[in-house]
Amino acid sequence: MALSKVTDLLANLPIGVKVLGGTFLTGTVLTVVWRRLKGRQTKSKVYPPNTIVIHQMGRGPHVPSLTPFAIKLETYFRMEGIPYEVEHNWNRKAEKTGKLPFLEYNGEEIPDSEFILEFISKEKNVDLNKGLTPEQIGIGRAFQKMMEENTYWCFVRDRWVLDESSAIYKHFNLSWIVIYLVKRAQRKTLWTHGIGRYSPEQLRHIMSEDLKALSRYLGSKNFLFGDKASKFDCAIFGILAEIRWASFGGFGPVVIKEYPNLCDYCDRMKETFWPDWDTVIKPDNKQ
Amino acid sequence: MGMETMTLSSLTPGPVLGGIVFVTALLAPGILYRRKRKSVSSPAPFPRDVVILHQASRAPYAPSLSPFAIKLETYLRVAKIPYENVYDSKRGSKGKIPWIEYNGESVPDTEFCMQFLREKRSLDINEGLTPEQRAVARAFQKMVDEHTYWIMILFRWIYDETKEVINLAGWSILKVKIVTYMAGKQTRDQGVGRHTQEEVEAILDGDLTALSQYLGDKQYFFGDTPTEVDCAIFGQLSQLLWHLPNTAVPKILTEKHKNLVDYCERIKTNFWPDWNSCITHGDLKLK
Repeated sequence: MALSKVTDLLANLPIGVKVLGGTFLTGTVLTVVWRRLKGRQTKSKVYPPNTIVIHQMGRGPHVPSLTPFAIKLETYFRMEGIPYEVEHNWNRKAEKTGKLPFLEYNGEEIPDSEFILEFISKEKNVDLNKGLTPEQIGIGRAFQKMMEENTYWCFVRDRWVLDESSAIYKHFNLSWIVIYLVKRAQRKTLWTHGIGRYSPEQLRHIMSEDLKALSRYLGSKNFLFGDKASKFDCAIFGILAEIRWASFGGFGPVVIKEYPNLCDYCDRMKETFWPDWDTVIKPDNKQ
Repeated sequence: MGMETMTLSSLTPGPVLGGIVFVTALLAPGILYRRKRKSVSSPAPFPRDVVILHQASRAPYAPSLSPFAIKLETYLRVAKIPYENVYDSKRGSKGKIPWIEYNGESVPDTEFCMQFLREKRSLDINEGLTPEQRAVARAFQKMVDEHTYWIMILFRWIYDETKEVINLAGWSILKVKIVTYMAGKQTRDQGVGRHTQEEVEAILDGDLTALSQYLGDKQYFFGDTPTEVDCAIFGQLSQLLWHLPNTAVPKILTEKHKNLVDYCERIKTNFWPDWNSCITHGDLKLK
């Protein structure tokens, strides 16, 4: 009964509305199907056994990836001397979680950078927390979670919403309609998350306080726990690299400059583990 | 049957008016609801230099269903700041609870509240901490409030099918259904909601291990006196330990992280001697 009322209502809509609505619906369905198909296209590439393949979203600009979690993974593999391949495809996301990066290994997909690291540590018999005391592991996790679960959202809002020049959108030649719609969707997500409720000044203050805590803990050490980098340095470097070099029009770079030791730390991680940084950040580099 | 051409002249008032009414009806409830929930300062004159703490009503097995309300109220007790509770659903200026009023000023967000009171009352319970300890404190506070919190939400709204605590708190079925839907969406957006329950339990164990290892056999996180981070950690742990009775969580705590359970009991004994009159056991007549 209710259904026939709905269909009657739809039938009585002006023809213009029906045409517009129909086009919109068809367009949406086609786009989703096309993107799924495009994503599946590359599944046919076959790798030798035991090859680690990181699936992520592409090189550059300014950083090896626009997601800090791919930088974290690659930095860790480079640190441990674990060889890996990289595949770039915005449209192919992990089947389980719908996010990037994910790992492909012997035909299996593993999503989530932390799960990937745990998987690789078992597979390649590597101790993720080599040389660290239980207290350091606790502190490391706390700092990693602060950066990945708090500072991360500050920079996401900074880069994708607060930047009035919409620099990142313009870099990808996105139209004003797309910019408007994406910013609106992001504002809603960030509002319900909580981070979207702060004024820009308050958000900047929160980001600065997070970086201040990190800066104070790092002090004059080379890495978080001394002279040897750990998995936690890789995670933290991922976030800092985005803030420092890939904020586009956001206030990130200005905020991190308040903490010179963090800027030096970024340069140190870059020079130690990414000697090919300048090549790798080129957008057309598929390595 | 020919296609009607859409021209301006053929737009009769009826459909246009109908469209306007339809759009208004869609948008109005959201706008009115947001307006209603914005903070209105309490009409009654409250005593000077007394914090008015706005929070939801007392809960079944802990003083609140909100870890942030417990954090803030514990802080007020640790800092010995006189306060009065107002149990209402009026939201602070960021649309959330808890929030405070103090000598006519209203402040939302628990971290901002503590910073505000630190300044107004010239009292810093973090006084004895070194810069490095303050840095570690912030990292742990962000981990529990921005990461462990979302895992608690997943357990409370998605994994716990009994919803015993929510039912004892007297929530209507409709409200429960709406919040469950929102929690699912929010945890997906935040990320942790994309994993399986088993994976989430492992992630939670990682956070608890970090806390447990840093606490060790100390009374509080930084020694013999509690600091702000203890209030934050107690707020989150109180929900995990006492408000998730039909899940694996209390067992994870009691079997694997006994020192955290003892820590909670310690804070409860020392700062909530009136604990039993602050919990309802499901008696809705008790505020």
